[in-house]
Amino acid sequence: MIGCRDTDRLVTAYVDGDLDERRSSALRGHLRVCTRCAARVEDEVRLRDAAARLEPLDPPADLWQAIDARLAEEEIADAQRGRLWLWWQRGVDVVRRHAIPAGALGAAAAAALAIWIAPSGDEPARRHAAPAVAGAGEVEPAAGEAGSSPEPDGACAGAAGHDELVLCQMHRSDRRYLQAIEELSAALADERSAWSAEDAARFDAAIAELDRAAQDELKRLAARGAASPADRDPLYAIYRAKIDLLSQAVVGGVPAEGR
Amino acid sequence: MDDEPVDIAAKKPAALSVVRPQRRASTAADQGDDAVLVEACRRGEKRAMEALYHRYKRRVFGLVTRIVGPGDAEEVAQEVFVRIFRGLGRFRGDSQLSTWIYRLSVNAALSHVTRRPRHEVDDEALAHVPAPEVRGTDPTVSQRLEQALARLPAGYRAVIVLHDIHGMNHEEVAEILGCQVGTSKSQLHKARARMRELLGPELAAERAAQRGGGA
Repeated sequence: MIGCRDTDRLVTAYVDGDLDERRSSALRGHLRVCTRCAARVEDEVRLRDAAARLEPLDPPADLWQAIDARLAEEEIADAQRGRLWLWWQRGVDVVRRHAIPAGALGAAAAAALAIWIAPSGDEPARRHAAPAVAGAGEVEPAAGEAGSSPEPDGACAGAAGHDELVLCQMHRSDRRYLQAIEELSAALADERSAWSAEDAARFDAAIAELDRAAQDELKRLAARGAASPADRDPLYAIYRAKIDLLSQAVVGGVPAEGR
Repeated sequence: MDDEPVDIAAKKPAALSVVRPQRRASTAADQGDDAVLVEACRRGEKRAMEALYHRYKRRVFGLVTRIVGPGDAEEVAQEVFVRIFRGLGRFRGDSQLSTWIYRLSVNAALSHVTRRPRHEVDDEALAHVPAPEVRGTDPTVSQRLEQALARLPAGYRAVIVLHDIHGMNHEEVAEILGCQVGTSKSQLHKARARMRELLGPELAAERAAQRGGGA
């Protein structure tokens, strides 16, 4: 027997015609004897119909001009982006066109980024270079070519002494990691527009966690006054984790929960 | 049972209908037009971009306004159209263009609300909502509806706007929101229940007026 609780539960499906005929008939029977539930159904229909009569709204007349101006700004910004960003966009297109698993480009990207970030020919920081880049193939940018940094490769060559050379290379590695993160974040800005708010919030939380870890690591380094490249390995591991997360998201869309 | 018995089923055909108002369905011609426009937009043709904007501007702006509120609607709508034009290269036609545009709009609006949880819509802000066109209805009813809508949680707002105002079915709503069809149905059920609470006195007055008029 259908009662008031059932009406509460079924009212939306009933007024939208989503309820099967047998239950609709039973519900109608209940409505004949229960004014409270009859009023509830009446209210729901009235609400639904009033909402359906609301019209879309007209935007301000100058909205198109504002959009057109923003598009022009974005295109000018694209022209000024680093070569890494352009290279990355081409890679994303290739992955999409050929339905290549996102991980394949991610792995190539990680190796290529490691090569790009690492200083060339300077022993102290060579440890950061990828040991092998098999698989990076044609998408691998040559060291010193991929970035838009105005700093010429080998800018540390003029360093006076070993300590200064090491410091110079560490700073350059820092900048290149951060530049890679910045450019991937810019590439992701368009991608994430198709994500749900929940997915975006989950992804942002994962990024924020890595940012906190990087900040903590930077504080530790500052407190210790560390000047050895090896001391920065934990920091670079965090940067690489962030690059990995961003690159997977750019290519493969929002990462699955739990990653 | 708090009122005298009324034979609602008997009076329903004249006063109320459980048949949902139908929106104009998207036709094959519309979809063909969309495909032509998309191709031209991808080539950077300005007139095609403007035509696409005019085709969707009211739907996008209406949707966004009702989710983020009138104060931020222009900013968010602008962001949505920038994302649309910059993302058209990635639109592969797996879904209808309108569905894709609605998805971008809802995501941008909900993200905006999530980022600015304190920037909620209030009555004062709603006073500046351009009066929507209403067909044969007391304008105050639509204003009260808009005010009640603004008091709902953003997720409920999105479902009501897509389903009840834009006339989508639950499959379309679920595709746009990235949720299960069942979730869309249960969210709509809860959202309408909350609307009934918020508009209780107005709805009771309308019922009374109808009975008085019908007596």
